[in-house]
Amino acid sequence: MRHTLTRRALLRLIGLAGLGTLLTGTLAMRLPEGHSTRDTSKRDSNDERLVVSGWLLNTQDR
Amino acid sequence: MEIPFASLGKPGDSVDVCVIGTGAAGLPIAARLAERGHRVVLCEGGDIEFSERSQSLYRGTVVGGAYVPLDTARLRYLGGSTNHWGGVCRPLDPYDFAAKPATAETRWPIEHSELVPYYGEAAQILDVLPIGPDSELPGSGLRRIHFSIGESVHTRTRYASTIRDSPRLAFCSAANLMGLETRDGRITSARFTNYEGGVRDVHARFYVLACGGIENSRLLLWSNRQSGGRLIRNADTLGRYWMDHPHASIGQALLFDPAPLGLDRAYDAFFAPTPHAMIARNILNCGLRLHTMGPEQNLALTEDLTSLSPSLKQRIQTMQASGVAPKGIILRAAWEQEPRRENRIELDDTRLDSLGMPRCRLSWGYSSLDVRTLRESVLMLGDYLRQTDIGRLKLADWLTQEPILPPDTGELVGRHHMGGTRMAASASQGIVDLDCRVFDQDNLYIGGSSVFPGCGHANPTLTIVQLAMRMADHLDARLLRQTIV
Repeated sequence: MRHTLTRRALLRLIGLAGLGTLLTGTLAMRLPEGHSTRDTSKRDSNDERLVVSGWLLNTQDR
Repeated sequence: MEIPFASLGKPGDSVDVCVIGTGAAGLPIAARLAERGHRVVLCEGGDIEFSERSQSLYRGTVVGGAYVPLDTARLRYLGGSTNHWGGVCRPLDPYDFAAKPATAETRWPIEHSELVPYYGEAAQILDVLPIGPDSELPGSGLRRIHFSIGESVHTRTRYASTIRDSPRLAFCSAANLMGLETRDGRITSARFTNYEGGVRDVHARFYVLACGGIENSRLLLWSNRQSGGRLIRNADTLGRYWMDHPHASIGQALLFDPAPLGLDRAYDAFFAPTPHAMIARNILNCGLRLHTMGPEQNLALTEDLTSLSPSLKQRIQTMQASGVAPKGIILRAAWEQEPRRENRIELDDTRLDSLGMPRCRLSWGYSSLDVRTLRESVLMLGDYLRQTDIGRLKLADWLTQEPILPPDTGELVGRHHMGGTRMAASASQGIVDLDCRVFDQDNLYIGGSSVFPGCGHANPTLTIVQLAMRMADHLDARLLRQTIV
């Protein structure tokens, strides 16, 4: 009985994990400094997205 | 009422409907039909409680991308996988029923409006509170959406009194479907075995297979093979177009002003692309999930951003001097997977289960559209934050690399098994028709998410129950017509 309950509890935990109760922590940064992309889908063609260490920044942020 | 295996399919028994499976689809269908005066036999392959002898039948292999073990992604006893779901509900979006520009395979052969009448009943069965309407974030391509997150109703509990007391519903556990006999386009009997090798045949006017998004395909593949292909003559799509909702941590964000996102002190907030944005960016649907971040993580994220940007550092210091701290949020996503032939359930003839049936082999992986859908969706949010200057978003490491390779650890998927016996307008495109009836069989129906042609991003349980109530109405009408004739 004890074995069964433990397994059921584990299975429930696994099920809940799929719904998002397990979250990851802080993530590392790897993208090269100063890497930038122009988002052509934006209405404002002057808008430039600067990607720095994973952060999506405005050019004036730097 | 509960009956022993030996009483299953006794000679002379007149059964209107044989329902196979007791999860989110099977039990509501069986209970509804019994309530309406029809004689129902409800068979569950598992036991009343969890048992290893039953659960082990769910073992299988996965080929392709990282996935969760198949015997932990679902449960095989009374109540099925409702015994471990999380109670998260949202109906599919109207646009989810359309052929999206990114791939026409998402199209359902029925309109969203077909399921709307069943929302109330399904919500009542699942104890779901009404959700508010979506609201667009102007200029972002995103809309704020809502889920009902409540108690996870187990069908075994919801229908306990029906199983115990209903004189018209005979429930039998440890009854494992082993095959379906067909003659002249009709199922004539369903064969069941228990764990001791006993065999019983059930004869009914109608049969409903509702064993989950993997087993429905596996059992049909097996039964079709045994029938020499007479069960499903055009089985080209059987087991194919299988889907799950990929889940992943996608980053973090720091908000200088949470108000425009409609966030308060503690929250779980959800956003998704508008239909217009899905069309413009050629992507599928995607649920972005925002969660409150703890104070230590919040501080670390703030220091991370200020170390990169002197101007933002100055701004945040000014905020902090006036007693306002930026708000850190954790970002996750659960998104729509492209329905593809390559993702499929097959019989693994090299591995048999303890009942002698080939185990399941799942071929599953991401497509470039799956990845693009997520990338574009998170960029929409990130660009909205910086363009409106209400915050900045930091991508998860895996999203900053080319090519983007989704994580092979962590959440991976929602364990939402969909497709394999997809609903279609013709037998060349799917396995069941608009009523969820198997094309080649007049009296065989499929319940559950295996009939989904496309899956949106919303958790599937509510839609499963909506479809179940719709099927119960349909069968009720057919049974009444036959009785009158």
